[in-house]
Amino acid sequence: MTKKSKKIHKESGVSETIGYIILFGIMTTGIALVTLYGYPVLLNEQANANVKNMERNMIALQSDVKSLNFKNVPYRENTLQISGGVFKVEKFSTDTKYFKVINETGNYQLIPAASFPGNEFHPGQLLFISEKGDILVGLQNGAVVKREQGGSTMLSEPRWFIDSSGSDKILVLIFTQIDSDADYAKSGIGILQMSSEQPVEVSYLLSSASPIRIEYHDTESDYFSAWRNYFNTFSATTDSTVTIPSVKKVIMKFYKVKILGL
Amino acid sequence: MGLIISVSIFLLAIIVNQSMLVGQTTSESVLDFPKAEIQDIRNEVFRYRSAEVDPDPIQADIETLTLYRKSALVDISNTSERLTIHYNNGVTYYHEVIQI
Repeated sequence: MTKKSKKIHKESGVSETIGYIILFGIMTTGIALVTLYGYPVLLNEQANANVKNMERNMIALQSDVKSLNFKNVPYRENTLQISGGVFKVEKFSTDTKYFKVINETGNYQLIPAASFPGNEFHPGQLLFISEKGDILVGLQNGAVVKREQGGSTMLSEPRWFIDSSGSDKILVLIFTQIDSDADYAKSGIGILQMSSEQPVEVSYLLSSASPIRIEYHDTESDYFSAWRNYFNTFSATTDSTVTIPSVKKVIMKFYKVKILGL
Repeated sequence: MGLIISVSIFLLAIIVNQSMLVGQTTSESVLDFPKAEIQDIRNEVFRYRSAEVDPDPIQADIETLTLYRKSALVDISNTSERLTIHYNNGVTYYHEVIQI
């Protein structure tokens, strides 16, 4: 008799408080795990998304610069949403990175010293500095370059080309310089206003086909490997200079894009 | 039901995210394609060829103007039996030979 009643009402070990504590414990552990691991992952993703977003912005800006250069558009503006870092205009006069073009037969400098002192072309850049640290995305000399953890890549190339359809090899180099009257830097939403200025065009018809050397100098070596890899598409090289053999004609156009406001 | 809606919103977000860049680059490559420029050059070359004027100064002008305004190389060679038009702006390359 007593055995039967025990089987039906078996509640001697059940406590509401313990059950509550167990459930609460599981819940708290869950919240703790999400805060500990999930939240940093989310923040990290957010920072990555910001950098990705800025890469896109830079490619959009590159096509704006292309319109200014190649389509004779006098003025362009672009609304930028800059989050997770600072966007700044680095004008050519304060830039330590520069290009040189040299005719190896006789070591002639081909960039005109009248417009560019010291035969050095300083491009300047539109630069995004991520607050995540050590990530730079720049629009430099018509190319979109990205630097991360000491290395760099070119996300979008400038329009340099060799035309070898005829009997002579023609090298066309397009340079773009960034200039501004004031120093601009912005985070948040900004409207970048750009205008184009009269380009300088130089063309050399060499007396005999000569090797042409293009040098990229970068003291901080920010975009060193980006340009080296790009130079490799012309001729094999292991540093940031490239020698293109037997060029008969060199055409260089120097465009200037002026930033009016941000 | 809730699951289906949330998954579909997630997928839509991915598509919208991708479409911005794809749309822009596609429309730009369409705009960049120099169809009208090549057609203009062709028309002009055919016109002066049929008019039998001296082509040399016109050819040089076309080549200089295209290089100056569009940063594109143009090379026209016009002989009695062959007409060649060559256009290259680094992205688009066009070469035409007409045997006459």
